[in-house]
Amino acid sequence: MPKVDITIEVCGMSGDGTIAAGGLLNAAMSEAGFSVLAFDSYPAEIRGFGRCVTRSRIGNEEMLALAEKTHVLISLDDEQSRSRIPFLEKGAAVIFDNKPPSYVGEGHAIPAHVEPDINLFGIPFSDLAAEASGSTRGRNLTALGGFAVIFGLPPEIFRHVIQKKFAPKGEKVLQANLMSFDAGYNFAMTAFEDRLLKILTPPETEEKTEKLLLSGNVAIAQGALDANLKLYFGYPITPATPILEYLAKALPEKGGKVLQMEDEISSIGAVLGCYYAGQRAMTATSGPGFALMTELITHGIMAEIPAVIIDAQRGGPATGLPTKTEQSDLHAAVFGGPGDSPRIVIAPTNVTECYEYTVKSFQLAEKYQTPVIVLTDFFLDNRVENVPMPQASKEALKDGNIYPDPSAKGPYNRFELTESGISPRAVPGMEDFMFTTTGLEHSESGGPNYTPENHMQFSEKRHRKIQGALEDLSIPKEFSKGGSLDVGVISWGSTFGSALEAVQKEQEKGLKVGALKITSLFPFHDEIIRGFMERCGEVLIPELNFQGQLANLIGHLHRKDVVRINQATGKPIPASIILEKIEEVLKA
Amino acid sequence: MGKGYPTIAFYPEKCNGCNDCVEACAQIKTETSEPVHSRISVAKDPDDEFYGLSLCRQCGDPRCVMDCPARALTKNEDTGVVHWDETKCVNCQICTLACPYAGITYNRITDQVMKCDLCNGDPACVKACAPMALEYKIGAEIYNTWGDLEDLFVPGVGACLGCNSELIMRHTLRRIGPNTVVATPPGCIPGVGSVGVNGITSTKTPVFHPLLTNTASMLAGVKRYYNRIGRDVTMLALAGDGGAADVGFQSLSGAAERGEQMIFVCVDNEGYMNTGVQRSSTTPYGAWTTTTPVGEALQGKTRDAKPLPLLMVLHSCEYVATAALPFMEDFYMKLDKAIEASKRGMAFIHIFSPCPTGWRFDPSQLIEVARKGVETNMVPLWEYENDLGRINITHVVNEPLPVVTYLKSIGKYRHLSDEQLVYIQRKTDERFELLKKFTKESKLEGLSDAA
Repeated sequence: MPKVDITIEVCGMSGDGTIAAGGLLNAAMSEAGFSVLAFDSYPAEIRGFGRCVTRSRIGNEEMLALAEKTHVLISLDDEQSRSRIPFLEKGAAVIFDNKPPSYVGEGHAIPAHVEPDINLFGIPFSDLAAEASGSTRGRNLTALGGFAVIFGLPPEIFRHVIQKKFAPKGEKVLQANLMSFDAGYNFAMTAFEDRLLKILTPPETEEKTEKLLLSGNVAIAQGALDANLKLYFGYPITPATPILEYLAKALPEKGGKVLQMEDEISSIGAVLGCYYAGQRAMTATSGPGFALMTELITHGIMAEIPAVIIDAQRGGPATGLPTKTEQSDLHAAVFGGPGDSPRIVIAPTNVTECYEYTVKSFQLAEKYQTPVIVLTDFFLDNRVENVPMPQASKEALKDGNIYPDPSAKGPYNRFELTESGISPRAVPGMEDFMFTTTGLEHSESGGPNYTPENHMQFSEKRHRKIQGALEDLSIPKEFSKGGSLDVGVISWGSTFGSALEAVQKEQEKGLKVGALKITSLFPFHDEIIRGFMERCGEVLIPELNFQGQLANLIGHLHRKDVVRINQATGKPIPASIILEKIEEVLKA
Repeated sequence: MGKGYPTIAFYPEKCNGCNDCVEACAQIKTETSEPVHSRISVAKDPDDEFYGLSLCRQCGDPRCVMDCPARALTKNEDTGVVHWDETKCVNCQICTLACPYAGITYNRITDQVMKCDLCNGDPACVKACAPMALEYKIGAEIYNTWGDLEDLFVPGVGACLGCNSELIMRHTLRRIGPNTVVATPPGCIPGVGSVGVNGITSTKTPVFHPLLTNTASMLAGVKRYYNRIGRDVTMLALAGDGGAADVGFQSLSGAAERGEQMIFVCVDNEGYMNTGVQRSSTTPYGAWTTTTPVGEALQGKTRDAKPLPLLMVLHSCEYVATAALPFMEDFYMKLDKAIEASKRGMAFIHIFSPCPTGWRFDPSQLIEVARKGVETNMVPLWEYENDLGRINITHVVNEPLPVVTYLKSIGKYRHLSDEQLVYIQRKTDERFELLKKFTKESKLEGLSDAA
């Protein structure tokens, strides 16, 4: 079957049901068997200012990143959608309301503003919805009805997802939405009879693996649930709040508890307390909250207490851009806080990894007795991918704690100096294993000790221990045929998908280009990274921050300056920008 | 300066439909007891809970005057009475259609229209009303006093429909005036645009958008410097309950204890509404939020709200008050005192701020919900002046409504069981009793007893 790779946008004013329509569209496309990667953008302000846009990339191969150009624009408010016109692909389809509601300013009707090659489909959403259901509220569904016909999708798929979404809200709401959908479907069927595009006929695959639409945040929450998390402590902050809200519902049903704390300092404090006592605990926050946590994170490092912290990055510094994406907490995550304080920092690059890395973070925290920071970002947290339901292996769910030998004789040294730096950890209440835990520098017994030798020795112990974690951390993954490369692209987090897409396009052209995915950010596998760099003519590091924080962290491993692609726009980096840079470097 | 006029106010919940007012009106106007001659009437549909009133409100901008083709109706700019001139009337009765209050009606006996003239300032109906459902009062006193002050927020901020925070912002700042630095930490007040959007600020004073942790300490820094250079500027914080009672509490408590000179207004909408309705420490017991969900394991919040205004009293603030916007005169009075007190130290005003979006009620019911909060004694209105050393209840509710009348008007309490309702009533009563203990002029009694 022909390769499908199209991007569909729904655009409207907040209150138009834009996000809801985008969600239904994603669900329907997933059910039809396509791969989906979708991301919504909306304003931080409460309402009235807000343009909402959902972007869904649909295809029959795995989608790695968002595309830059749009093939289908469903406009619920032409005044807002006009700003999307520059992003339309040549010959794109625009489905719009040709009898728009009165609040859409005059002169904005989209046909007057687009290039002549644009394929226009005018449907009176509001009128049709009102006629069918008695209210214009379902006009977003009417638009979807039109979309389904024009692109040749069976209506049953949409009806099924509408059923799933609205059945809990009662029969009346469900029927109103179904009728609004049908009105658009029937209208478009006759109105555009002779020019239906029908390019999205669902792939007829032999065997469909059951796929779920998951956001990064839900994958994290689900990973924590599957890892047998018992206590979650958190404080609302965009974009991490959905984890708190999801667990507030799901965790009590599994016998756990969610506690909303008065701030992030208390959240991390309670996580450390809980883990000190021997129970899995976690918190999630964003940059501003993470900043408040840093002192206690270093307490966890000094006192060797496990903790799991999700830092869902957003634009910064300070309050910054609360609803925009950025990868600018890397330095804070790796270095933040007083003293020499090594900790583990890992970063998933897609929704499935969000799940896997959350599961894994508990074991890492337990084995290495240290706070583990999982770095995600707005684009990863709120993107939706359809993925096979992730499942943690039994091995991955095991208790990572290393306990002292119960038959051991003599006094227990909680912070015993060992080769690996890992001292078997008792929890309070274990008979014969009394110990002191403190944020002061201490000796093997846990008692305060400020002698020069001791501080040197224990600083070294903590670093040795964390460096040792490399054996359990995912190694950088290379995407190339090996051998020498003209250009190597190294990337992390949500940006990696774009990097890989750009690299794959170059590889298809036969160019010697490769990609390296780094998910272990501290400690990192310097030998492997250096090995990759040595085979590269030039090394490109694209990331969503102004300074190039990953480049700062690993750039010194290269024999010459790495090429930084730093984007601080609050938006995900498109593959095309990376592609352009690769071409530029190749030409030079 | 605007002008306030007399009117007759009506309290439907007090009216028993006895019609004594109707009789009194007919009597004084025509010396008969025929109801047909009365300028006032009360009526009730069988489905309605309360009586409704038909009576001229002596509007400031009367439709009847506007619509009268013969200029037989005029507004007396001195007395405020809408006057009907019999000699000019052409009896077209358009005025009876124009008036939304049925305040001017057609009398079939006299074949003319008739309306209330307020009996020269001594209305017979008010005197006749035994349950005191009618009250003769001068309207818009606040408007008289403060009507010319500038609204320091631009029109058209992006609040949700029926937002109480917008009212608070506008009234607070227009009273406190432009010589002010406004600090407002992340939350709904910046979220609706007070800090600005797309590069444009909607506040006409300097705005300081600090972090949630430190509103009070940052303002303290500003004020300390201004004091050093002898500049007199008011410090105003407009913070939500998160920025005051949760993450902001440490800096607020510290500033209050040090006696920092500022007006700190806590806009208490009982949760984190800006991030999508999570609980805060001022979320009341039983309330639904996304982090205190309702299901099998839980039925809303399991703990009581933190009594922040009382805690601030115990900080020996110069002035502490609670306020709710249905009682606007009470609120303005408290702002006046807060302005004075902030010259000596911390003035703290805790404003009850129902949120239609987050609490799930119809935006048109905002004022009604807030009123019921006060009249159930769930949100008593009081003030504390440091030099008096006691709490003064500024709006005494003689017969508090049962809490269920308030709770049942709000979606976030829809699930409450009978046991939960009993608990909330008991807690409300207990907290009010505790409050009353602070109202006694007894602060020295204990000491003198001991001596």
